[in-house]
Amino acid sequence: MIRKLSFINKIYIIIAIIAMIILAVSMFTYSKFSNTLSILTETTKPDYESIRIQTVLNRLNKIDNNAKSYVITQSKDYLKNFKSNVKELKLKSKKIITDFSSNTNLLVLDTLINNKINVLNQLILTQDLKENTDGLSNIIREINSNNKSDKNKIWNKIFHSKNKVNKDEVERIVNNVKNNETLIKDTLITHEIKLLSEDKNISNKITDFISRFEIKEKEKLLNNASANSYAIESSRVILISSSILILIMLIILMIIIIRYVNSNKSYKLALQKEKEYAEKLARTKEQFLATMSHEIRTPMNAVTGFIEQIALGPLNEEQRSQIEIVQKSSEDLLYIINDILSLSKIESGKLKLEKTSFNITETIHDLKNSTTSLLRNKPVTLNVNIDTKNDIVIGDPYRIKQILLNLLGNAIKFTHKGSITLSLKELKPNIDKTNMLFKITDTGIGMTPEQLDKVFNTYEQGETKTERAYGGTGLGLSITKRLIDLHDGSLTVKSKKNEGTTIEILISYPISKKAEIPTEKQQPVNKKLLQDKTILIVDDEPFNRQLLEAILNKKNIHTLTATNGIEAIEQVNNYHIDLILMDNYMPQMNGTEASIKIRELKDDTKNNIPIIVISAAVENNDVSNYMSAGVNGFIAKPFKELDVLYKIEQVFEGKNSFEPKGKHKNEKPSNKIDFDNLKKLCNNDQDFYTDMLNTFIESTSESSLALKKKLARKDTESIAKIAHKMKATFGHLEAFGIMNNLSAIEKNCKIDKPIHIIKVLVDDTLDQVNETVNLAKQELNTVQDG
Amino acid sequence: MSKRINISVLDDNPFFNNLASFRINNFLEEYSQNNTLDYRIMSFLHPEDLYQNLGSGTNIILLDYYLGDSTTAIDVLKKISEKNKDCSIAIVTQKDDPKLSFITRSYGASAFIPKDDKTLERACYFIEKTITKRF
Repeated sequence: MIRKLSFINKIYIIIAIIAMIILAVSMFTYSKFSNTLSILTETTKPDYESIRIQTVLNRLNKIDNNAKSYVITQSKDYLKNFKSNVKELKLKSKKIITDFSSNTNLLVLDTLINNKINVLNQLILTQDLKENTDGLSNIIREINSNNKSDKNKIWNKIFHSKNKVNKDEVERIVNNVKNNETLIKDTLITHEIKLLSEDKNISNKITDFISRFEIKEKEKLLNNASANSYAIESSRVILISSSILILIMLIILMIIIIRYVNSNKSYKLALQKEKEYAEKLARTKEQFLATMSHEIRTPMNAVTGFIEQIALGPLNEEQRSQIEIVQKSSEDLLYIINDILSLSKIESGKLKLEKTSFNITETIHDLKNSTTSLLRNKPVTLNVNIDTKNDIVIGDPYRIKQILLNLLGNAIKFTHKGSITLSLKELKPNIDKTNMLFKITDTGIGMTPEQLDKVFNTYEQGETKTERAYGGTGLGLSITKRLIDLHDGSLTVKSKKNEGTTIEILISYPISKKAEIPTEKQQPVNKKLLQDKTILIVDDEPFNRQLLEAILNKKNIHTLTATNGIEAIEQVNNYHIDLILMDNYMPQMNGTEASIKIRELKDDTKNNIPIIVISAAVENNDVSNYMSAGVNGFIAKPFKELDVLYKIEQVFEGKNSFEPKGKHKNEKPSNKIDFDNLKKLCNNDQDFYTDMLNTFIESTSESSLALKKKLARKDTESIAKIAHKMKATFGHLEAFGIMNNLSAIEKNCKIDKPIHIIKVLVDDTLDQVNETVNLAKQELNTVQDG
Repeated sequence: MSKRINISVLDDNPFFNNLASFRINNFLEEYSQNNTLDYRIMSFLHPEDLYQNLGSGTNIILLDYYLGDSTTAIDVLKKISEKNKDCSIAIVTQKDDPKLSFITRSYGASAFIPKDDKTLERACYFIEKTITKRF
C-alpha cells in the first residue's frame, strides 16, 4: 500500500539528501583540491636539478673562458683559475650524478663535461708546446748542443772573432731551427684546430643536451599545468552542479514548507470556520429551541388556560372526561418541550443542579400520586417501598423527580399487567453523606440485550415500532442517563424480553441538618385584596389577553388591555391602573422596554405601578433582565389561574416576588442559621468558612450593639438603616425569620410607627440574633476543634 | 495578550463583602481557565477607600445602595462618573423599590441586582456579561 509521506518525513528525506550531497561534494572537492594543491606545490617547488646543472654549465663556461684566455694571454692566473674550476666542476658533477641518480642523462652530461675538460687541457698543453717552440731559444739550444759536440763551435764561430763564425753554418742552423719550428708550429696549430673543433663539438653536444633538458622540463611544466587546469575545471563543474542540485533541493524544501504552511493556514482557517460555524449552529440551535419553546408555550398557555377555565365551569360527565384528556395531552406536550429544553441545556453544559434541602421520601410519594392516574384502566399495581433514616438531603428535587418520572412513566407505558415497584433504600450512610438506591421493577415487555445496548441513546427506542406502538420522542431515557451522570450517580439496567425490567440508580446526597422542609401549599386567595382593582393586561396574543381577562374578571378585577408596550404606556397615562401584567415579546415595544419607560415617567402615581412580567422566556438571564428593568414579579407561561392570582396578591401585599424562597407567605420562616448553606457559599473552603463565621459574629454583635444604642436614643432612621444592613447577612444564612423581623423593623421605622412597637420588635429580633450568634460561636468552636 | 480586569466590591456589610469577593474570585478562577484572563478583586467597606483606588483602571464595581452615614450608591456613582467613566457598575441592594433601578441607571449604573439567594449568581453573570462585552 502506498502511503502518502507526511510533511515531517518529506522534510527529513530532503534534508538527508541535501546533507548527503553536501558531504559527497565536500569529499570530492577536498580530494580534488588536495590533488591540485600537491601538483601546484610540486610545480612551484624550485627545480634543484635544473639549477645545479645550470651551475655546472656556468662553471664549465668559466673553465672554457679560463682555458681560452690562458691560450690567448698565457697568463698564469687563468691557468690557475682553470685548474681550480676544473677541480670544483668535477666535484659538483659527481654530486649531481649521485643526487639525481635516477636521471641517466646526467651521465651523458658528465661524460661531455669530462671530454670538454680534456680537450681544454690538451689545448693548454698545445699552447705550452707552442710556447716552447720559440726560435731564439731553439737556436741557443741548437748551438749548445753543437758546442757540446764541437766544443762550442757555433758560439766560437759567432762571438769569438778569433774563432771566425761559419756564416753558413749559422744560417743552416737557424734555417733548421726555423724549419723545425714551423713544422712544430704547424703541427701544434693543426692539433689546436683539431682540439678547438672537438671542443666546439662537445659544446654543441652540451648545448643540445641542455636544450633537450629544457624542452623536457617545459613539457613537464605543461603537463602539470594541464593536470592542474583539468583538476580545477572538473572541481568547478562538480561544485557548480552540486550547488545547482542543492539549490534545487532547497527550492523543493521551500516549496514543501510554503505549501505546508499554506495548507496549515488553510486548515486552521477551515477549522476556525468550522468552529465558528459549529458555535453559530449551537447558538442557532439554542436560540431555535428557546424560540420554539417560547412559541409553543405561548399558544399552550391559551390552551391550558382555557381548558382550566372550562374545567372549572359546569360540565357533564362526558365533557369532563374529554376535557381531562385535553388537559393530560397539554401536560404531555409541555413535558416534551421541557425534555427538549433539558437535553439542549445538558448538551450545552448549561444545566446545573440545584443544591437545596428536600425531603426525598416525600418526593417518592409525590411521584406515586402523580403517576397513579396513568395506571387507570390497566391491571397494574404500583407499589412503593421506602427504607431510609435520613429523609432530608441536599440536592436537586426537580431533577431527581424528572429522572424517576421518566423511568416510572416508561415502566407504566410498557407494563400491561402485573406490578411496578418503586423502592428507595438508604445504603451506608455516614455523618455527612448518604447513598440512595432507587429501584424501579416492572413486569412489562422487557428488552433484548441488543435493545438494552441502545436504549439510552438520544432519539432511540427499544425498537422502531415501539415509537409507533407506545409513542414518545425517545429523549426521556437519554436525558435520564445524562441527569444521572450529572449527579455523579450510577445506573444499572437488567431486563428480559417478556419478563420485565429492573432499573437501579445509586446517587450520593449530603445529609441536610434541617429537621423538616416546609411544604408549599397554595392557600385560597384573599379575594378582598383583589376586588375593585384595575389591572392592565399587555399581550400581543389575543388568546392570552382573553384568558387573563377571564381569570381576573371572575375575581371582580377590572381589566384594561394593550397589545404592545407603546399602547401600554398610553393606557398608563390615560387611566388609573393598580397593576400591569406585561408580556415580554411584543411587536413595536417589548415588555422590558415598556417597563423601563413607565418607571421613567415623571408622575409618581404612574411610575410606581407594580408590574408583573408574564413570559415564556424563563431562562435565568431573562429573569435578570426583567429585574433590571424594575419589574416587581415574574410569572412563567404557561401559567395556572392560581399562579396569576397569588403573584398579584403578593405584589399588592408589597412583597417583591423575586424574594428568596423562604419568604413565601405560607412557609414558616426559620430563625436558625443554615450552616450548610454557608459552607456551600464558602465552596467548602474550611479557612474561609471560619473567616466568615468570625465576620458574622463580629459584624452582627457590632450591629446588635448599635441597634440597642439607637433604640435607646429613639433614632428610628438609624434603626432602619442598621436593620436594613443586617438583612442581607441573615438572608444568606437562610435565617428568614430574623430577616423578616428586620424587614418589619425597617418598614415600621420608615412609617413612623410608635417607638414602643418598634422596641418590642427590636428586642424580640435581638434575642433571636443573639441566639444565632451563639450558634455561630458553637459552630466556630466545632470547626476549630476538629 | 491576556485580558486584564479589575473588579471592586463596595459594601459596608463585611459579611456580604467577604462572601461576594470570595464567590467572584471562585467564579473568575474557573472562568479564566477557559479564557485568558488576568483579574484583580478589591473589596472596600468605605466609599473613600474605593475613591482612592478608582484611578487604577477599575472596570467593574459591585456597589451596595445603602453605605451607612447617609451615604447612598447615588453619591458614590456621582464620584465614580467624575473619576472613571469607563466602568460598569451593578447596584446590589435589599431595597425593593423598582424605581431605584432607574434612578441609579441615570447616574451611570448598568445593572440592578437585588439581594436575595441568587444575588451572587447574578453578580457573576453580570461580570461575565461585562467581560464578554468588553473583550
